[in-house]
Amino acid sequence: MSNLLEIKNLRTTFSTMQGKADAIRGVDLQVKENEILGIVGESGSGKSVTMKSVMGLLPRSAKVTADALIYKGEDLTKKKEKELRSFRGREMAMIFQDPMTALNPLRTIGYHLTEVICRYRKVSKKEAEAIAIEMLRQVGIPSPEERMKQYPHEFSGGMRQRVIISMALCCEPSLLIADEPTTALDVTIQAQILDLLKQLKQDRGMSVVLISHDMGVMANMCDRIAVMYGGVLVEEGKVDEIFYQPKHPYTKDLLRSIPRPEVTRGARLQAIDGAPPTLHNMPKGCPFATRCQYATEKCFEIMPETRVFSDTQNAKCHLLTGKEE
Amino acid sequence: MLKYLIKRLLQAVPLLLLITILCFVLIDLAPYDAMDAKVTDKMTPAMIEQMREEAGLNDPLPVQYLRWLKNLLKGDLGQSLINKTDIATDLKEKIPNTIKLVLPSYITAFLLAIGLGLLAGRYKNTWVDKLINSLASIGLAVPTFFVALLFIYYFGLKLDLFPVMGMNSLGEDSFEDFLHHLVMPYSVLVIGFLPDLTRYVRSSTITQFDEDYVTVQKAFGSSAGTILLRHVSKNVLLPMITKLGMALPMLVTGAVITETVFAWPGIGVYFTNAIRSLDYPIVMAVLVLSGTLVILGNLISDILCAVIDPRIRVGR
Ligand SMILES: Nc1ncnc2c1ncn2[C@@H]1O[C@H](COP(=O)(O)OP(=O)(O)O)[C@@H](O)[C@H]1O
Ligand SMILES: [Mg+2]
Repeated sequence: MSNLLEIKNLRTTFSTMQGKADAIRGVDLQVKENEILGIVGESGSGKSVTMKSVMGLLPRSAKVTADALIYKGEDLTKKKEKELRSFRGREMAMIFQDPMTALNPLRTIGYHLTEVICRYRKVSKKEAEAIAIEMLRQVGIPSPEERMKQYPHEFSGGMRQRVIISMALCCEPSLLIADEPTTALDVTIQAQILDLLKQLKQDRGMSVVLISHDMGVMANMCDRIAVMYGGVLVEEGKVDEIFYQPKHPYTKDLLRSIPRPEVTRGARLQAIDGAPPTLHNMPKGCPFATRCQYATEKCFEIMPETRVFSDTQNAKCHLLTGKEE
Repeated sequence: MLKYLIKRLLQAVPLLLLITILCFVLIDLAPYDAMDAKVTDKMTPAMIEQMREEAGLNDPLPVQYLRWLKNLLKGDLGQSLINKTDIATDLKEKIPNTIKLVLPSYITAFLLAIGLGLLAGRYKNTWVDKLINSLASIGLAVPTFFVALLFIYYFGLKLDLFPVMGMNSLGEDSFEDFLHHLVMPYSVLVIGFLPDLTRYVRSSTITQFDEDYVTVQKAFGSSAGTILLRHVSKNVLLPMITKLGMALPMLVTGAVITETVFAWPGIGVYFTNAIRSLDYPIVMAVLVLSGTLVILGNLISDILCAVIDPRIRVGR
C-alpha cells in the first residue's frame, strides 16, 4: 500500500512564558491509503500537536519545522498558507475531542454543513441543503430535515460528534484525523461513533488517523499503531505486533494498564508509576528514562536510534537489539 | 415569552420602589430642606414653624414619602426651590436637547467600536491591534473635560472653526447652525464613549477566537476572515446588545460633563446647577429618572437577548 501522508522529522516548539518548549522532537510517521492508524500515548505526549502541526492548526506561538510533509506526492512544507487552506477540509479534515464546543452556538446545523459544502462544490443553496441532509442521514441522525434547522445546543454530545463527522464527509477528504473523538462521550455512544468511523473507512476508502489514550479502543479499530511519549514516537507497528510483541518498555507498560476482563477480579489494575516529564524538564535523551525501570545513564543523555524489527515494526530504545535503521 | 416578559416587569416594580425610597431617604438626611430655601430674615421662628406645618414637612417620614410618591406617579415632580419652575416642564424641555447630543454620539461610538474592536481582536498582537489598544488605553485615562477643553482651545479659539458654547447662535435656529454647534461636543462624546466599547469588543473577539469552534472551522478550510465575519462576529455582537440596553440611562445622564463644558442646554447644566445650589427636588427627580432608566435598560437588553439568542429562546 502506498503512503497517503509521509511525515519526515517533524519538530514543533512552543514559545511560552517559561521559555521554549520542544513539544515534538523529530517524529517520522506514514499514513497509508485506506488504513486506520492509531496514535496512542498518555495525555500530554504530543499526539494532538503532531497532527495539528501537519494540518497547520497551531497558534502563532508554535514553530513547526519538518524535513518534508509529503501528501499525495506534494510537499506541504513548500506550500503557502493560502494553498494549505484549500487542503484543509477537502483533503484532510480533523475532528476533535469535545463535540460540545466544536460548533458555533449561534448557527444552525444546516448553516454549518451548507457552508462547507458551498466552499468545495459549485452547487446552489438548495442542492447544498439536499447534500447536507443526505450526509446527516449517512452518519445516522434521525429526521435530518428537521435537525437541519436546529442549533447545536439541541443535540446530545454523541449527535453533535455525528454532525461534525458529517461536516467532514461533506468535504469528501481522503484523510480524516479523529482526535480522541469519543473521550467526552458515554461508553455506548463511544462504540457507535467508532463503528461509524470504521464503516466510513470501508465504504469510502478514506484513511483515518485515530488519536486515543485508550489501548482497548486501538485494538478494535486500528490497522497500525504508533506509540508516542514525550513528543517522541517510541514505537510503531501493526496491531498484532504492538499487542503481542511489544518492544519498547513504555508500550509494555501501556499494555499492562489495560483493564482485562479475564484477569481475576480484585487484581489491581497496574498504572504506570510516576508522571510524564513536563516539557521544561525533559531529559536530553529518551523521554521515558525518568520512569523506565531499566533506564541507564546513557538513556538520559542520548536520544535512542530507531531499531527495526520487521518491515512494519520499529522502536526507539537503547536496550533493544534490533537492526539499526 | 409573554410569561417571561410579565415576570420580568413584575420583578422590576420592587426595584423601582427601592430606588425612590433610597433617593428620598438620602435627601432627607441632608441638612437643608425645601423650607430653608423660602426662609427670609424677616420671618420669626413661629412663622417658619407654621409654614413647615402647612407644607407637611413635620409629618413622619413615611407619610411624606407616600405623598411624594403619589405626586411622582401623577407626573408631578415638584418645583425648583430656586427658580420656582415646574420640574417636569423643565425636564421635558431639557431632555430632548441631551438626546440630540448623546444619541448620535453613542451610535457613532458603538459602530466604530465594533469595527475597531473586531479588527484589533482579529489581528491580536500585531501593530494594528497595538495601535488601537494603546489609543483606547490613553482614551480611558484622559478625562472627558480635558479633551473638551483641548477641543475648545484648538478648534474653537485658535482655529476658530466651531462655536464653543450652546446649541444655537442667538436668534438662529436653522439645522445647519445646530450641526455647527453639535460638532465639538459630539466629537468629544464619541471619544469619551469609544475606548471602553472598543476594548470590550476587542477582548470578546479575542475570547471568541480561542473557542473550539474556531479551530474546527479552520480545520475545515475557513480563512480567518471568513471565520470572523460568519461566526465570531455574531458571537461578539450578541452581548453587545446588552451594552446597548444598559446605555439607556446615558440618554439623560450620559453627557453631564460635556454639556457643562460646552454650555449645552441639556440635563447636564440643569443638573449641575441644581446640585450646586442645593435644589433638592431637581436632584431627586433626575436621580429617580436615571435609576428608572437603568432598570428599564436592563430589562430591555434581557428581553432583546432572549429574543435573539437561540439558546435562551428555546429554553423558555
Ligand atoms: N498552545 C500550546 N502552547 C504551549 N504548549 C502546548 C500548546 N499546546 C500543547 N502544548 C504542549 O505540548 C505537549 C503535547 O500536547 P498534546 O499534543 O496536546 O498532548 P496529547 O498527546 O494529550 O494530545 C503538552 O506538554 C502540552 O502542554
Ligand atoms: Mg490531545
